[in-house]
Amino acid sequence: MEDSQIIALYFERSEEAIHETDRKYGSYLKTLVRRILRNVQDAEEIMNDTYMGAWNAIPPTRPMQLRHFLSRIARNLSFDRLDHRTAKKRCPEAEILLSELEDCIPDRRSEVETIWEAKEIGRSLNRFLEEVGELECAIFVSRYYYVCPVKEIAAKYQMSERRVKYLLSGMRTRLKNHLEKDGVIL
Amino acid sequence: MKESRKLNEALEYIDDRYLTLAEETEVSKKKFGNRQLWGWCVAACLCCVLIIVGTVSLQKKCTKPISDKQQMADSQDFVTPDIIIIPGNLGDVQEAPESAGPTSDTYENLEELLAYLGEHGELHGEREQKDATGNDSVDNMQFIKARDVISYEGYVYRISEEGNVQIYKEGTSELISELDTGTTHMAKELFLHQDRLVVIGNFEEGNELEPEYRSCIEIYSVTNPVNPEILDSYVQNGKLSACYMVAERLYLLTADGVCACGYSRLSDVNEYHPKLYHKETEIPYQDSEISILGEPDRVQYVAATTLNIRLLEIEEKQAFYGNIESISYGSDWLAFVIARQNGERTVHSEVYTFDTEWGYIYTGKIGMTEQDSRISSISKLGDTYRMLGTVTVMEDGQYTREDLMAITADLTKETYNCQVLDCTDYPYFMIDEILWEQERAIVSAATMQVTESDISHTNRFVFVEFYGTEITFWENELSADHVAGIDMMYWYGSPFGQLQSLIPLGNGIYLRYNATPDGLDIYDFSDSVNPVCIYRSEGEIPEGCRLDFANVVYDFQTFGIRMITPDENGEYRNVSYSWRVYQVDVEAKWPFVLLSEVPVSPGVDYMIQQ
Repeated sequence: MEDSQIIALYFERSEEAIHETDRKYGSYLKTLVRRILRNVQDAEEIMNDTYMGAWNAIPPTRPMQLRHFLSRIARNLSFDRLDHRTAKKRCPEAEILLSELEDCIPDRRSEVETIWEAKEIGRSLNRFLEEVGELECAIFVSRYYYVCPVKEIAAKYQMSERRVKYLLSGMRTRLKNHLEKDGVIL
Repeated sequence: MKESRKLNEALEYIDDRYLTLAEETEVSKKKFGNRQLWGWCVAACLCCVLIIVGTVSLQKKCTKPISDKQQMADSQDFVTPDIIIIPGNLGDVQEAPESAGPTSDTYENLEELLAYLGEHGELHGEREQKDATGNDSVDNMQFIKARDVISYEGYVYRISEEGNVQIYKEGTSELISELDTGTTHMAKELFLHQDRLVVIGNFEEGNELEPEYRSCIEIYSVTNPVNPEILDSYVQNGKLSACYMVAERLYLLTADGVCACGYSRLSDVNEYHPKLYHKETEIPYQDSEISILGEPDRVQYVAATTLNIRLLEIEEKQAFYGNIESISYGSDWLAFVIARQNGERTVHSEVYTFDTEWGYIYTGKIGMTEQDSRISSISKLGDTYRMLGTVTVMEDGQYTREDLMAITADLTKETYNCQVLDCTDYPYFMIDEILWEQERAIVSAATMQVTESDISHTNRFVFVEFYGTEITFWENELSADHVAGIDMMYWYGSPFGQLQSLIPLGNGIYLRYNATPDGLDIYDFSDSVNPVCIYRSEGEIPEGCRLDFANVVYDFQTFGIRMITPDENGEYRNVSYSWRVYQVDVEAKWPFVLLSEVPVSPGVDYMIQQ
């Protein structure tokens, strides 16, 4: 079924929308969620919450790309769930991701948790991704958005794991400089 | 971590087109391969140009730049070595190498090198490889040094004299249990990261003259502190040269190829392949995981492995073949000093540097040309490598003396500086110890005074200050006892048997042994221009107590000394042991204030760092 048809089902408040979403994107979302949480039970719950989130958001939202819209919800919920777990139970892979991203933080100050700020940083990130080459962009997004293991990225882009790590390391340094230049303070 | 979460949350606002790109991008290997080929061609051309330009123009740069405040004796014999820098894979992320790769210009791969050595090599080393030195003083806080005693959740893990890991209740000498580390190897070092205990051990097999060494890593969960559970283990061929941790990454470096007596261990050169085993299953080395440093003329290699103790995965491994004299490392770098023999006695040092944050990435070579020079110690601050060593001065073809040499090199900017201190006033100058600080190094060097009836040794201190690539030497009149004269001192105080006579107490104050019985000096080195000895003991430490070693420093002014008290007859047969904790009050006439004394049984002489 086309995305537009599924979205139409949401607008009609038809529960068929959930079934169709699951049929088309269930496996895709499950992969993403499991990469973050590494826990089958949690992943199942997050899947359900994701569909619930989509149900509540559409309407009024009419996503341009349903796939990415869903991935954002699933990703957010997964990281929120991660926060609720004790430190010892956290997924090592996801923790590594966060510690890697820590390298990019140009300066530290007290927490300012507003959506506006996140959007600002997001805009800066988009400018950064605009500047880097397609391949680097794809690798960066695969790693930090889709939480793909380095091994998987290496296989997908036909390069060694070492090279992937090297590219990511370089991009983190450049991102740090870029964020500093954009005046981003986290 | 909160800040990185914020950044992570911002990823939500990445444009759809980038998400689509990540899902759809496929790489044309042919296209990418061509780009790489072009990249390598360009890099090779650049290297050639740099070598030519470097040898011509950089020599001009290095003509004794002496700062105004420098106290340097005028000398007609003053010789500054020519330095050559050949950058490795720096800066251009797009054209990053697939691996550290061979760094030799002569040998394409290991088989080629071994084939050559099999026919032409002398099969023996000039001397045994020196120990590795770590440098965390200027590095990040995640650097974890190996320990032989660790405290965790009210329990103490310590390595016994027999090489077992024993568990004690903290504050008591009650042995709770012992780790079953097997009977064939001895535990050497311990690390603790959160709830993971790492035990580094060594196997020694074969006969006494030709021992075969293997090193092992065992990772335990200490969730139950009295009954640790083994999670994983690895064995790597070679003698333990260095091990350290950066956050949850363990770095293990082992050396093989030259035995204790200096000769190659194996008769068949082709057997000199690095070997790493996971539970008796060999993990093979790929061609890209072999680096040949320079043009080796003896069979010797160092194998480096990075193990993530949280994920229980080998992240990287690399074997380095070369005439390796010493290894230095920090939290994100590794450097090998390679000796290039030229003629009978002339030795040129070359330093090969690697970035270790994401593998073992070759970052460049710093070499000395046409000069008999040796690098003794390397440190790194920011992008600048700082090196100290000696250069031999010859007059009319005759050996005259050793001068102190300091080099700074920034491989990213391809800039360097080299300065030499004329050591005419330091007879038989020989570096004993180098202690790195943030922007300074303290060189403790032995000098020798020869009279008709006697030969005596004295230690002198030289301060070397570094500001970026600038170097300044500061000399002084201070002298101290040459502590090698204290029996067995060399064997204490350091995991690898290196003497660490200078013990930093903070704020520029240093404790140091002196040769009087049980003697200690206190120095104020806060001012390089005017260092002073503020206290020298002359047997004031209670009579009958023999100083064993004092390297447990609790804070800036508190340290522990292990004391051995002889029996009633003054004999050391039935000694009693104790740990004494002193506070240092540098303002007081008697600067040591005894805070506590903990009697311990022989073999249970642990003290815990607070």
